[in-house]
Amino acid sequence: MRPKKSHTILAFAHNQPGVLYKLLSLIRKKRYNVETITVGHTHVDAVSRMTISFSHGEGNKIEQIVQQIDKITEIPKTEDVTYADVINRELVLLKVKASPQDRVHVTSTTQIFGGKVIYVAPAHMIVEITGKQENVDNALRMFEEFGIIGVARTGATVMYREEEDMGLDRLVLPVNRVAPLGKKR
Amino acid sequence: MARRKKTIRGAELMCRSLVEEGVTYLFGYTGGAIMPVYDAFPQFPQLKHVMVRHEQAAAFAAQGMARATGKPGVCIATSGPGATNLMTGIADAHMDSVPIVALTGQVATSVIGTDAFQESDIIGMLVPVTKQSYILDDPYEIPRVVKEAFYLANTGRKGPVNIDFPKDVANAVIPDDGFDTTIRYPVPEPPGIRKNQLDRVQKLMAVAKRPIVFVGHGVIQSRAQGEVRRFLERSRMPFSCTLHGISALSTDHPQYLGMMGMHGTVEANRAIEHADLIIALGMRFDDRVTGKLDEYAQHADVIHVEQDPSEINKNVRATVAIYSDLKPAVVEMTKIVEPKPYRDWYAFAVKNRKEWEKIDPVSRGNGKGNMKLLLMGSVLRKLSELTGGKDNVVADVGQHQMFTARYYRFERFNTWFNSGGLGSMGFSVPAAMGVKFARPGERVWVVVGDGSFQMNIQELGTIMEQHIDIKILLLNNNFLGMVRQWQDLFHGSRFVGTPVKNPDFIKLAAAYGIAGERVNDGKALEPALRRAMRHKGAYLIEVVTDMDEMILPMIPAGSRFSDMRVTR
Repeated sequence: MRPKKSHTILAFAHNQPGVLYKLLSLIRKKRYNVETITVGHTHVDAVSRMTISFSHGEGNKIEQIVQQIDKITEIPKTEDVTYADVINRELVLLKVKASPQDRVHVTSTTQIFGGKVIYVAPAHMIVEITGKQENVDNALRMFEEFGIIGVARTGATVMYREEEDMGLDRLVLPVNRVAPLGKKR
Repeated sequence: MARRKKTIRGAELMCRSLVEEGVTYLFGYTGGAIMPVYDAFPQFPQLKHVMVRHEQAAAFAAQGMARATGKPGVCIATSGPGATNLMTGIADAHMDSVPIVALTGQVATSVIGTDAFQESDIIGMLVPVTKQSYILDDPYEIPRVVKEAFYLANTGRKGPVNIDFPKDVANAVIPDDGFDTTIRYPVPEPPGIRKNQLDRVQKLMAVAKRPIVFVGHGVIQSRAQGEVRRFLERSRMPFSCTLHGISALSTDHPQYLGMMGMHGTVEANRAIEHADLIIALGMRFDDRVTGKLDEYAQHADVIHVEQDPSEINKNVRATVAIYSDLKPAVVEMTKIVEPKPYRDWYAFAVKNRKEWEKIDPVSRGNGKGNMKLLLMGSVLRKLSELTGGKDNVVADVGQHQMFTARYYRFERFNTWFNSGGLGSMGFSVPAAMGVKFARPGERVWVVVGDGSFQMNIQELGTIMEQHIDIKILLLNNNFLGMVRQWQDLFHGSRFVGTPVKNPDFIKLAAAYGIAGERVNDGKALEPALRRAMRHKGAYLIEVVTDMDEMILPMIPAGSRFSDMRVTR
C-alpha cells in the first residue's frame, strides 16, 4: 500500500499566508511526491508544526531538500526525522462492512489495535484507530477480511520525546501575538 | 483645540522607507496600480527614478546597480503585465545571487483574487525565484517590510525580494507614528570552520601535490578578495575562476590558470581533471562547471567553503564541508597552510597553456576567421589591450560572453558583469545602465551580440534620455552564434532558427541620437575603439565578425573533462 522507503520531515513554521505554498512549490520543483502532510498549531501562538512524508528519495537528495526547506524564510527549523527517536502517530477512520453477525468481530479487532467504534449503521461501522504508521497499515490488513469501504488517514505527525528545537531563536514574533497557552489575548 | 495628529499616506511611507534604506536610484515604469508611489516621488528628491522602456530592463538595471555596489538595487513596476515583465530579471538575480528589491503595484485589496484589470498573482509566480515575497496588506507594515526586504536581500546568500503593494494600501492615510520595524526573520550566522575540520584541511593541504583553488562569485560578493589572495600567495597553489569569480583577482596573477568549465581554459580544465585537491571558495559546482558529475575530478578531495549549506554536497560531495562565511574560514586556512612550490604541477599547466597557444585561432594569423572576417576573440583581446583591462565590462549571453570571459584581462576588482545562471539574453544593455549609474566616473563597456542586443534594444531610448555614457561593442555575425556552434557540432550543421536578418544598427543608434560606426576590417578596429573611448556620451561600435568562429575549448554538456574539444 505505501512504498517501503519513505522519509519523514519535521518542520516548524511561522503561520503566515503562503508558507505551505512555498514549501510545496519547492517539493514540486524537486519532483518529489508528497505522501502525507499534516499541519497544526503548536503551544506557541503563530508557530505551526508540519510533518511531511515523501514517497521516494535517497540520502543525499533528502539532505538537500531539507536544507532547501530550511532556507524558506518563515520556516525556522527543518529536520529529517526518519531515523530519529520521535513519537510518530497517525489517525485513521475506517468504514468497514459489518453485518449484524460481524459487528462483534469488527469491534474486537478494533480493540486489538486500541481503537474505538464511533459509528454503527445497519450494514457498516466506522472505527477510529491511532498508532504508528506500521500499526495502521497492519490494522488495515486485518480489516480487509470484513471489506473496507472507506479510509481516511491523516498522515503522520511526529513529536520528540524530550525538548524540541522549534527554531524560535530564528524567529521574532510580533509581541502582541505571543500568548501563553490557555490565556486569552 | 486638540493638536491634529500627523498623518502619512502609504505611498509616502513607502518612499520614506526606501530613502531610509539608502536607495538613490530606482529603475522602473509606471502604470495604474503603482501611480500613487510615483505621485509621491517629487516629495523625496533623494529618490531618482530612471524610466526604462520595458520592465525587464528595470530588473536588469537594478541588478547592474547591485552587482556594482554590493547593495540591493531597486526596480519598480505596476501590477499585472508590469510585474510579469520583471520576472525574467528577478529569476536571473535569483540564479546569480544578486540582491534586488522589486516593488510591484497591485490592484486594491478589495478586488484581489477577482481577476481585476491588470491583476496578476505575482507572489504566486515569483515564489520559486525570490528569497522572500511580501504582500503589503497593512499600511503599518510598510516600514517593517521594506527594512526586512532589504535585510533579507542582502544577508547570507544574496537574492531578490519582491514587495507587492496594493493600490488602496498605497493610498491609505494613517497616523505617522508607532511603526514596528522589528526584523522577524533574523538570518542565522554560519557556524564557521570547526577545529576538527581545520585539522582535516591542514592534513589534506599538507599531502596535496596537485591542488587547485576555485574562486567563485562568493569571493566577490563577500569582498574576500584580499583574504583569498593572501591565502593563494602564502600557499602558492594555482587557482581558477568560475564565470562569476572572474575579476575577483587579477587575470594576470601568476598563479591564475584561467576560467574553468565548459569554455574554460585548457590549463584550468586539465588541472581539474588531474587535481588531487580542490579548495572551492564560494561557488556551487554548476553543471557548466562540472560536466559529467560521476567522472568529475575523480582524483581530488574537495574542501568546499560555502555560506549556503544547501549548496554543499548538492552536486559534488565534499571531503570537508565547511559551512562558513568566506573571510574567517580563509583566514584560518591561511594560518595553517605550508607553502610548497608545486613545480611539476605548474610545469603541467604551462605545457597545457603552450599547447593551446599553438592552436588558438585568436593567436594565430591575422585575427580573422575562415570567412575572412574578424574573430570575436581578437576584437576582445584588442579591447583588453587598449583599456589595460581596467574598464567595467558588461557582457550579454552567448559566444561573445565566453570570448570576453576568456580574452579580456580583468585588472580591477568586480568589473565583470554577466548573466551566468539563467543566461538571459538582453541582460547587457540595461545592466550596464545600472553599472554606469553606480560608477559614474568609470568607463563601462557593453559587449553584446546581434541577437542579444535586440532583446532589449528599446533601452537605447533610456540611454538617450538619461545621457548614459556607455560604450556598446556590438559583435555582429548575423547569427545566434552560440546556438550555431552547437548546431555545427551536434546537429549536423543544420542552422535552424539561428540566421538573423539584422537592421542597420548604426542608423538605429543614430535615430536615438547615439553616435556609432561600423568596423569591417582589422585595421579600423583600434581607431574606432579609441574614438569610442574619447567620445563623450554613448557610442556604438558594430564589428562585423566571422559567423564560423567557435569558442573553444569546449567540454560538451554532460561530458567528461577528458572529452574536452580543443579544435573544431
